[in-house]
Amino acid sequence: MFQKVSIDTLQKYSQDSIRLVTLDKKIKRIARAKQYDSAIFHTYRILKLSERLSDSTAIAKSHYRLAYYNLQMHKLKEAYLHYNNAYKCFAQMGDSLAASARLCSMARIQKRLGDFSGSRLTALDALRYVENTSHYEEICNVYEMIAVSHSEQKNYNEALKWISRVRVIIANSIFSKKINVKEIPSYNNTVGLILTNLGRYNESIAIFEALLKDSIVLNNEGSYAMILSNLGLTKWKADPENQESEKMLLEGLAGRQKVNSVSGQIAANVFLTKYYYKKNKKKALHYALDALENSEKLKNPAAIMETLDLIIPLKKELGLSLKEEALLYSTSSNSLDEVKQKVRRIYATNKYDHDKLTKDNLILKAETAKEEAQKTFYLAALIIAILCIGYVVYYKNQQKKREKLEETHKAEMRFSRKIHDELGNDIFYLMTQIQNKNTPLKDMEAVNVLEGLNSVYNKARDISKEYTSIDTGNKYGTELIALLNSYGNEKIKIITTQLAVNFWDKVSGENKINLYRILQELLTNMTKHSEASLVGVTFSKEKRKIIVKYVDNGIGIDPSTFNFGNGLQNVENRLHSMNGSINFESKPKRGLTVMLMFTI
Amino acid sequence: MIYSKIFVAEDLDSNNLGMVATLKKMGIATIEQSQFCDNALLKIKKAVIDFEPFEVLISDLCFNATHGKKNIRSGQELISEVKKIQPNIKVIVFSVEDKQSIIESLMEDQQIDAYVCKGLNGLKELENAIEALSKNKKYTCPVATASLQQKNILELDIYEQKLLELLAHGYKQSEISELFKKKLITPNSVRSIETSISKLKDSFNASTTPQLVYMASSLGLI
Repeated sequence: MFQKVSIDTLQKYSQDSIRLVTLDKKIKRIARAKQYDSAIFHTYRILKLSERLSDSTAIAKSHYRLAYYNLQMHKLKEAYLHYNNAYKCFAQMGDSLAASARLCSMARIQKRLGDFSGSRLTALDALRYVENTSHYEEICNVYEMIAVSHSEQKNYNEALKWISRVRVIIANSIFSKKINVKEIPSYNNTVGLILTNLGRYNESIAIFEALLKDSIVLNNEGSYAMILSNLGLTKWKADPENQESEKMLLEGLAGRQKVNSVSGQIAANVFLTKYYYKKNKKKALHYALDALENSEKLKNPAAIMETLDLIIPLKKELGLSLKEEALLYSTSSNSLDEVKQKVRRIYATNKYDHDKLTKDNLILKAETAKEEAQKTFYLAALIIAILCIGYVVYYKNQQKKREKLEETHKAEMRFSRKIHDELGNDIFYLMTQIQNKNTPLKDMEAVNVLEGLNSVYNKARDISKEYTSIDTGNKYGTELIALLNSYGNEKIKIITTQLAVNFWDKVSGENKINLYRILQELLTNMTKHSEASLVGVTFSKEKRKIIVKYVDNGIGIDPSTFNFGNGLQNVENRLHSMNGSINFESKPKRGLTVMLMFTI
Repeated sequence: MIYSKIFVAEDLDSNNLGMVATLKKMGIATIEQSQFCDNALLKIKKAVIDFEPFEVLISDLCFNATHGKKNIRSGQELISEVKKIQPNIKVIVFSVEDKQSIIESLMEDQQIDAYVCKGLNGLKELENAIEALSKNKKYTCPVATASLQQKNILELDIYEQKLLELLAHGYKQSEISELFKKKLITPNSVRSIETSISKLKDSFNASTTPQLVYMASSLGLI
């Protein structure tokens, strides 16, 4: 039973296929006879059949045919709709050449409707299908389409740019092999028209004249007539009084009448209207009305309105009634708007579908990219987090150290003040007591006590000095000199060299304090042990290093037996924290030289 | 004339005793004192209002008293406040401080009249200061003077360094003069160069020029 059904289906299927082939042949015959109504009727049947068979190639082909027949009958809206359907089928099938060609046809319809920017957008869509392929002929068609739409909107420079791309392809011997030679004159004709519009008449005349000698053009009466009209117009524009133009334009019209090209006749008539507009208003009106008649034949509202634009002012100037034209103008304008709207609507959904497809692809690509980006992002975030934690730990540690250092510093300062102010004052009080009670001082014992107290007083001051605060700003230089001075007396001469005002500018505050304390230590040591009478302390800068040289003429030290006391140990510690170095040089009885060095 | 009305702002009461005794010995009739800056300022203000102003203020720099609310914490602040009320008052700072920058700032910026360091001869120096002030003179005790003038240190300027360097290279005074003239270094006369060299000899305690050069080079100055 199942088998029987399937055999039935199979039979039906093969029957359909056979019908498809026979119908196909029939339609071709009808179409050749230009019975488009009938052809459309039968093509619908094929469409239905192929839809039932899910034969996408046949569906696409049917839509294409329906579009073509409708176009032949000047049913622009229907043609556009079917081209659009055909385009969608071809696009889905991945036939980019056919898809592009259908879009190009759609663009042509939009151009006919006077929707030039819409036409250009569709053409640009078409370009996407063939760009970067070797379908040079199709590419040239699209480029020309875009150029013409620009030209119609008077963007002649832009138009020239696009048509130049066509010329580049034609000029290339390899690329041009892919192009139907018969098409080349048409491209050149477009170039000529754009140049005429740009006012580059000499160049366009040369192009048209060359074309008239081209064998392909000579064998095609229609295109010969068209080029002749164009040459006539250009020559007239270059020189309105020339003798050739009239003859050329008239011959052009005759040629088009001969091949029965309606659109060609419109163009030739419009040119003649323009030519006679100033010379002979009646003749001009005659050709304008001719153009209108042909436009009505084509049911092309855009062309009708264009010719009306010429007729109305002519009739006005000749004092004729405008009633008919006014009526025609308004109906044409309405119908044009209507068709434009409808086509736009088709185009809009078409555009949406198209965009959606590409968008989906883009989204997919974006998502994968995003995933990868996310991975990198997480990795980067992890690294940054680790670095941050590391930094925070390090920073906290340093901060603790700094806080500790600051605390000791504060404590030192507090003790220093206490020793200086309180202990100093107390000792001073004792001294005044003795002095007041024994005036004048004669008691030797009192004198001894007084001197003892004075030395204690001085010691207390020296201790406190080690911890007083230091100005690390602009006055650091003077502070340092004052320090050296405080260690000198009648017996000990301290000599240094004058420094530039900005010598200490780039040294950090910390290093300034360290250097101050180091010198203090060395000088204290000097007063205690060296028995020196001359001390030289010099500062110099080399690249980014500060070099300090201390020299005295004292008894010196013996490095082998020298015991680094607390003070000099401090010096080493400080230099270590400054990343500096120190070098002692001494021989017994020959004085002491100390060189220290640190980076700014 | 010797003063009749002096105010003493001194941290330690015990010190005041010695000072007051010294001042009384000098024959000063009215001596008032305070251990706190705020209190001192009030008393000075009152005296101005009563048309019996103090003639001299003797102030310490450090005040360590810990009780009570204090607006003024240091001698420097007290001096500026007092000078706002009574600009013509004479000010003597009497302190253990001998740091050059502090003394200089007081003398230059705050325009005090005398600075005396406490120490072995502190009270004697205070007497000297008051006497100098009464003769309309400024005064600094020898310790403060030494600190201010920085007599114990010699700073060689570029001219002196260059001079020593040329001497070390065996140039004669006349040759140095010529070279300086060529290089537009002044002073460059033979006479002034000779003066400079003898000044350096004095500073270094050197008796001859070779000794001077030797000392300078061994001290790393050239």
